[in-house]
Amino acid sequence: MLENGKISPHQYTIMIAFFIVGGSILYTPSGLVHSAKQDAWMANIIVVGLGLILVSLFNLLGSRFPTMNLTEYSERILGKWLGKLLSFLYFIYFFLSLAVFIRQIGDFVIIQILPDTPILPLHILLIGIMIMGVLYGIETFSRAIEIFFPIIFLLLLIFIISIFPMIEFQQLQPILANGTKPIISAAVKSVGTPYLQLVLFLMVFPAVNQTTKAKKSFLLGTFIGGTVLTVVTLLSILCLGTYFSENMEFVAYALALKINIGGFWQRIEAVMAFIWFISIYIKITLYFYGSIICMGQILELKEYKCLTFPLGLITLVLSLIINKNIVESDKQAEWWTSFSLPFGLFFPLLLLIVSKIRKKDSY
Amino acid sequence: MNRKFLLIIISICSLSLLTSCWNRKELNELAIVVGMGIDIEDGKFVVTVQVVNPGEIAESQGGSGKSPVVVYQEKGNTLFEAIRRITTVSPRKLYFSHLRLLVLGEEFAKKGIAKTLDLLSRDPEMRADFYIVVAKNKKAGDILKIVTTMERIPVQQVFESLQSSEKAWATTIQITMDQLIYDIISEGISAKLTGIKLIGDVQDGGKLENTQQTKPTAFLKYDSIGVFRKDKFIGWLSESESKGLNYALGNVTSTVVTIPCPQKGKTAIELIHTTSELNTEVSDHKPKGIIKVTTVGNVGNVQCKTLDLTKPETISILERETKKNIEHSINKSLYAARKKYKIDPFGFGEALHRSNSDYWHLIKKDWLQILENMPVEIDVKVKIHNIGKIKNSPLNEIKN
Amino acid sequence: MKRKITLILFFSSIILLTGCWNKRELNELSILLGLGIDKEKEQYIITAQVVNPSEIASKKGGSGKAPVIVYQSKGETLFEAVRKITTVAPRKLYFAHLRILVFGEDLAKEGIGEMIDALIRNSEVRDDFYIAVSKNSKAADVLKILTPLETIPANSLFASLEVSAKEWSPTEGVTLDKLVSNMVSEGNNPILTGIELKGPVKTGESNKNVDQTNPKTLLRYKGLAVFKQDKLIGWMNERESKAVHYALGKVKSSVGFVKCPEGGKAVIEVVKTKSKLNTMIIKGRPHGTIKIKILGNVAEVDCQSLDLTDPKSIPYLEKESEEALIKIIKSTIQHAQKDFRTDIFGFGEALYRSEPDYWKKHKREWEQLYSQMPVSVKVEMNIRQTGTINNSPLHEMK
Repeated sequence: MLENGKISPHQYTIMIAFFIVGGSILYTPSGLVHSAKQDAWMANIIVVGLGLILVSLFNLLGSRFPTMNLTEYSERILGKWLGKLLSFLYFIYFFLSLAVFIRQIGDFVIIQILPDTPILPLHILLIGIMIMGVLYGIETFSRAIEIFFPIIFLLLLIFIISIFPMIEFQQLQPILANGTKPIISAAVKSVGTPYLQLVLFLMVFPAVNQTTKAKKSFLLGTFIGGTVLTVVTLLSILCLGTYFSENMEFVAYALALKINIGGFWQRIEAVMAFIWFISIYIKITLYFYGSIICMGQILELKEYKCLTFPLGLITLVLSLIINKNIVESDKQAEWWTSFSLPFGLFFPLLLLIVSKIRKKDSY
Repeated sequence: MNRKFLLIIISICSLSLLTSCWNRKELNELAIVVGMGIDIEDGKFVVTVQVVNPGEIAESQGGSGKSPVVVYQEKGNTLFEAIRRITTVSPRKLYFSHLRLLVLGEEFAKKGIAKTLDLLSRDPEMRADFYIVVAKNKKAGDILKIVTTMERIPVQQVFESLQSSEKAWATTIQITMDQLIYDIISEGISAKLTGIKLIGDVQDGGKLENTQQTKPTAFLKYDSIGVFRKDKFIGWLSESESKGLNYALGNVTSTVVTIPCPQKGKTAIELIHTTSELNTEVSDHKPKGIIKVTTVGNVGNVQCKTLDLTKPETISILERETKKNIEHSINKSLYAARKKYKIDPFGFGEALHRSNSDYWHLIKKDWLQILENMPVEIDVKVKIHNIGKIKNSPLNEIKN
Repeated sequence: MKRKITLILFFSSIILLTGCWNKRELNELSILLGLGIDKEKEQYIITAQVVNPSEIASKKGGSGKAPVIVYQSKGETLFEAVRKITTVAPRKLYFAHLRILVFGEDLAKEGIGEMIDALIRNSEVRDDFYIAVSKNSKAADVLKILTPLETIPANSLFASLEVSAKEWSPTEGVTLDKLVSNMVSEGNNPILTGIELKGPVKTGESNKNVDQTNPKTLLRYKGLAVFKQDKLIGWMNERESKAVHYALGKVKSSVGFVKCPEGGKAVIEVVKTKSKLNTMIIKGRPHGTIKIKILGNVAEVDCQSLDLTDPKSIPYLEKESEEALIKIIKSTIQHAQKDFRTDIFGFGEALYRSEPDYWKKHKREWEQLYSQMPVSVKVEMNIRQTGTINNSPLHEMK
């Protein structure tokens, strides 16, 4: 057992909501609008549904082994070596995702906020605080998230209310002009970010102190996060129209730029950036935590904190070379779903089936 | 107690006594020179100085409508004589420590500037931190007479403009005194200075009315770089040649490169970080120059319909075109310097001196001939990271 | 001890962490307020109106210099031209406070799309400025003119566009995102307000222009530039521009008049309007409808014959003004359909909303369909108040 910290179901919910909002709030509408046009918000609702189904699968697997994390029971189910191999694959998956998300923050900052600044110092800063978060342990970290939650919630509310005067309802029409096909295909394509990524929480699952409640909060967190994303998508279509929703690099930020009520309540886009920074910080820290636990389990270490610095350094390098430019990052979002599919769906399913057949559970 | 008292007395006394000695200069006895221009007229030196008018500058409430600077002009057989003669018109002694800009008249620069530099570097009052420019097609005196709007002291505006234009556009070059002297005396590098142009009429430009218009009738503009053979000015480079020279010298940090789109139209790439290296190597007793430029850019402006910025391949096409453009301007500047003017503003000689000093001493005498046909390898690496706030241009959506 | 170190670290980081590569101090920026773009041969000429900080900041009048400075430069791309300004200006342009963007008429005729790209791509540019087209002059000239009341001409242009859009309505402030959305839309086309220069440029440039109570050179908004996608194809006059804004429901408040039964005029102040624009398919052909609801007051009565105490006279005024309005709107739509052949009202978009399948089939030939499409206009006028007096004093005069 590498992790001794315990978190409450409440913290678990918040963590998941942040995780979902974090990676996607600036990006989601763009990909969905590309194929579903003005019906993208419906696609988003479908994605949330799909996400909830996935989460129930994770819950099934997680509650079968309430005190073990993904790597531990994969060794138990598949045997030592096959299990270790699977754990290693997961490690690679988590680690690559981590680099991708760090790069996303870097890209955002140098495109929108500090265009002349090199990306390296930003990444160093970010990875610095990420390592700090992991060193404090999951328990401290989740308490920190709990403190941030009301602030972020309030800011998000202010943001949404401030956008209301800019809404033009006719932007939504015609509804279902192209039939349901593009909506479903858009939904299926974008299930990868962030819902398939939720498999990461199987690493955190055993740390929750009440297993039955954990299942509920897993679902609830997903629902909250998904709702926020749907609202943002809806707002961006209502305010910006389909052209901008599709072609802006950071749609939600563009939305915040538009806020102008009475000539004084304006230029508050930093609010949006703040929401995003906090939530994606939580996301990358969880990824980092996941990869470290994974690695620790594979190497059968007694203590995982010794891994933070070396892996942090590798992350830094990886995050700089993972994409050559922003266009590649955008392109990557398109195939990320298929890349995540085995990790987010097939392997958990496999583990579940094999464990049923071999009648393995935690005892 | 007694001791403390004594100490206080002493320190107060020394405050009034220790006010420097023979060289003491009070602020109200000085005329602070911010700009100096040197021309030559009928074999005589003409010195123009721009002196701050302290009354106008200090006042926080608008001043009395006088010009914020005063320009004095005098002639003399030597530069020193001309400078001293200015005191006959100026009520105060000229003080050169705050000189920001030295303007050399084109005519004067053609005759050779070495002797003048001697005086300027000999004078202890001169610091070496001012910039030197050449007045293109005009007298240096005229440049200093123009009043400007943005900054109250015209020279300050010109000084800042040189800094910002090198930072953001990179066809100008900031050369200070020590750099210029070094370039002149060294055998392996030739001097170069930025040109400044007066657009409009001197008569209009000197009046305060010039600043009361939104668009001044006479204003100053930086032009491309001028090159020297030894200490004599010999000609101007074009805009793209100047840029090429700056690429090779590593003076470019940020600039804009305009490249053609695959089909009709143009795209502007903003370079944000550029570093470069200039080296030489000797193989088979033959020198070879190497210019390495590494740059990171963003797509700044798409002016064509055919560019699909959602595809990574498009970025590689743009990178290739940008590379071509940079190589082209370096090649142009190489051609202009070596073939047209037969000089070495790049400092290949210096580089050779550093890398193969024995060889350098051997060929130093014929260096310029050797340079003319020396192969130069240009290695440009371009990376485009970002494409800005939007992906595809709205032009892509416009049919017809 | 540990606490002290933390405190020291904390304070030193305040000093050190003041923005890194991107830090720009206020005195290193040229705050750009107005930007004009013209085209000459293959080169773009940009004209930047920049605040003169020393004139604006000093409380007591400054030293009589112009409050703004205009810099010009040329380049093959907009970005290049912007950067080239540094060879003249001491500071780099800062775009975040841009108030007005003016396109030269010649450039607008060739297409403004290429310029728009640079603006929406740059992260420094926001979209809270207005865009206009200079009529019969270069954009450069418009930006050189000094204005009375507001010391900064770009602010003056911005404010007067806002006020006149609210109170008079033939003009409207169009922002960048609106322009782009209309430009890229297949079923809609942009319109921009025109700016006209009255008087010679030369006198307008100088501070002396605003020293007079009646400046020789003035800028005023006039007409509406009609675009087909990104190209200017013609101008509409004031009456027509007003009609366009009525049809689009953009009139917030305006003034119109109707003829009295026996000569003279009655002026009606419009307080509130609401319009609904639709395109339907009737017998396989598109058919446009515009329904406008107007709430108005009687503002001025210039005729003797109108008895406002008579309950019949209000319906009379309502009917008259409805008819007058329908007439102008219809003729304006015809003008746009037949002469310009450009769908500035967004009938295409309305069709897409109501009949997406029909639209998909016929969007290629939309221009053709649109130019022959019948449009019915319905205006519902409601006059509520007659002002503080009942009958006009003129009424009493025999």
